[in-house]
Amino acid sequence: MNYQYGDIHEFALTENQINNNILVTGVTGFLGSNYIFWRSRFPGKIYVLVRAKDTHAAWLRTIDALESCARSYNLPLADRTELENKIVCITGDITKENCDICDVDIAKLTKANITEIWHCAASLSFEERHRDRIVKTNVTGTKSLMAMGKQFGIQRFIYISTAYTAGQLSGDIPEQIHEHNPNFSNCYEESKDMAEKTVAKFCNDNNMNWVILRPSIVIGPHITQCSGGTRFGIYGFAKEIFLLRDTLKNVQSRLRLIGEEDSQLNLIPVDQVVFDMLYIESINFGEQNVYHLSNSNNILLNDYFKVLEKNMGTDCLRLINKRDSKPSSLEKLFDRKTAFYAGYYKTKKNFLRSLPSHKAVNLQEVNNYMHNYREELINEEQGSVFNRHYVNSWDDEKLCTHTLGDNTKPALVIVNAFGMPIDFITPLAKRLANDYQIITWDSRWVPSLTHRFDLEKCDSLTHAKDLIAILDHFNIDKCFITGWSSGVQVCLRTMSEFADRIKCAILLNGGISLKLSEGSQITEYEENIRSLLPKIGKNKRMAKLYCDLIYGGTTQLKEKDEESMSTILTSTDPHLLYMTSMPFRTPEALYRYANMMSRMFAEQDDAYTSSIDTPVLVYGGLNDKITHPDVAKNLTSALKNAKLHISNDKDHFAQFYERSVAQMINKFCQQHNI
Amino acid sequence: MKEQYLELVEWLNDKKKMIQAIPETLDLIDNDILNSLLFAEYIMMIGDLSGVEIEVNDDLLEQVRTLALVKSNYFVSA
Repeated sequence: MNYQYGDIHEFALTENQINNNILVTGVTGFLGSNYIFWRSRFPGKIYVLVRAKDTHAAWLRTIDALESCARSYNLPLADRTELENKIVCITGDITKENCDICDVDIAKLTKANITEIWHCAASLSFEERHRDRIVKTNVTGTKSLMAMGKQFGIQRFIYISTAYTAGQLSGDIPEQIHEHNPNFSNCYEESKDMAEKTVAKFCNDNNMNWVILRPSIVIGPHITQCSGGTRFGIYGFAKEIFLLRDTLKNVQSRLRLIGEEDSQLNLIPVDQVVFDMLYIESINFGEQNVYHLSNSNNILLNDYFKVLEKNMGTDCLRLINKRDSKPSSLEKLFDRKTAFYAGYYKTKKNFLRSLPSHKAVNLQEVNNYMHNYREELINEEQGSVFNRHYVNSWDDEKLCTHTLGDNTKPALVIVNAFGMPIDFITPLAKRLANDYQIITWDSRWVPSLTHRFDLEKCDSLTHAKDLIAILDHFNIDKCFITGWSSGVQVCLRTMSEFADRIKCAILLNGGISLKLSEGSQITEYEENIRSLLPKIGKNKRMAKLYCDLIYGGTTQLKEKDEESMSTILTSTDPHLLYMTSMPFRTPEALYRYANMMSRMFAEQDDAYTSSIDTPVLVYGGLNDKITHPDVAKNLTSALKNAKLHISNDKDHFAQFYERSVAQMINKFCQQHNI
Repeated sequence: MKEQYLELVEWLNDKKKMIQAIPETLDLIDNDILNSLLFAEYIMMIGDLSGVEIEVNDDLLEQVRTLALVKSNYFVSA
């Protein structure tokens, strides 16, 4: 060897045994993109199978992923012409028949003399409810790809699996197929094990060589110790702690995680994984069929928790064998949010490894990784998705305004719910940004606590005037608007007062002042909020009392008592807890929010609908536990020019999760684009 | 104070749409009369009507668990 094992730079300069044409999947993912980033420095063409509408779109996705890799190594990307000569994009989808590769491309691949397929693509979902989709991608998709490879004459199929197909086995884990199905922690592990067996069987039946590579928990490049863009593995868990950090700092009890105190993690940097992959190819895949791509040392899970919490500013995680009392509401919530990781709290595996050892990742380096990751998350939180502006409103109050997309496109203003952070509407904004200039803003008073709170101005007209001030700032004469939850009241007020500025509106899951018709229902949540918030809004002492109730001050509670005290935190979608808890974080925020909401509910019985002629689409969901779909129905009836869309199975957060909501908005706007 | 206490009782009975009045000695938490947001509102009503500044501590629940306890702890002359 002319290089130290693991020195990927040196290897790329000196290794000359890699020289063939290959097909790679998963190149827009973390490991796949890192693999071709380095593999493209060797001779041979790389055909990449990418899901995209055409080759150009596939190329853009691939380059985007490679640029992200380059940044993570602090290295320049290779010359574009060089890459275009090296990398050939093929559009396809392994979950579809014939991998959805067109005949022209199949002919191209057949003539390309491809010797190997490196199959990095996978579904990383894990929940039982997604089992069919996970198996379809990870197992059936793998088989389709092998069948396709057989068609154009590959010699070897390399499957990127995971070391955690070992499931709940402990001790030494051998480099071989697990013949007796171990108990798995989740669907993801199980599907990867099924895929391994599928690979072995198919290749053996068809005289094709095969290799299975099992990385352990992949982290960012060792060279830079940044995340490299991945949000899986330890990064997913760390992000949950980061998102909940303010709530967790207020919690006076520990978060007990059920596991073994001596549980271990095996972490391997992505550049070391890629090195292993290149090395194995350089030795013509060696004598084995299965290799662990793992660290020679494990890290204690408890040590990882300490390092993580030191960087996140929390101190609440405790790994215990058994909870000696029923889980608190927060523990139940955290269990749900981190369900994927629960199986790893009891892990004591030693992944046997026949490849030479890498330089091990030690705890100090893990500390560096987590420090860097926290910086990345803070940068993201501060808005790398949107462009941020400060707009002087009608009363000289400065509004933090966010824009996304091309400002030559029609403007679409998204009116968020009162007090909620921009994260709540970011997915919707991103889905619409191709077709619109998206504009949104942080509502004054909450979350923008820097504004002086003025009860005299606490009504929907203030926010409507803020919206118009923002339009004026950007020289927008007319726009589309979409509002969510209490943002719907602001949209209604805007249409009532400033009809000439609005082309049309889409109102999502509205929480509004509209008096409902006889027999209509509201949710229990709305009933309670309507009753509770005026009391909190009465004075700050009440707001402080409520915050004390949520965040503890009581530690010796019975299970039921605990539930009563803290279920406000769990009364909405647990996956969005950190966002919904924003108005409740401090007494001041809660006091303001309580006034904003209770005064909104006390506005006109018709919610200003009688003076609105603007075309409106009203959206509600039958599973909405926050704002009853009857509100949407009543709103549609009250408006002169409105259509109703009720979703049979969506809840209050459909706009966050579902592409179909963005599509519905787009369609309605296109119909009214005057 | 008696009036304020009765106002609390009436409020709670209305909230829960009770046909018969809630017995004063009924454990409101164990019997699911109070949960979630309603519990917080109950505490606030007690504080508001009694004029007592409620402190959130380990003793709080034991002081409010039944209407009888609330009467004796917060509405002394009721």
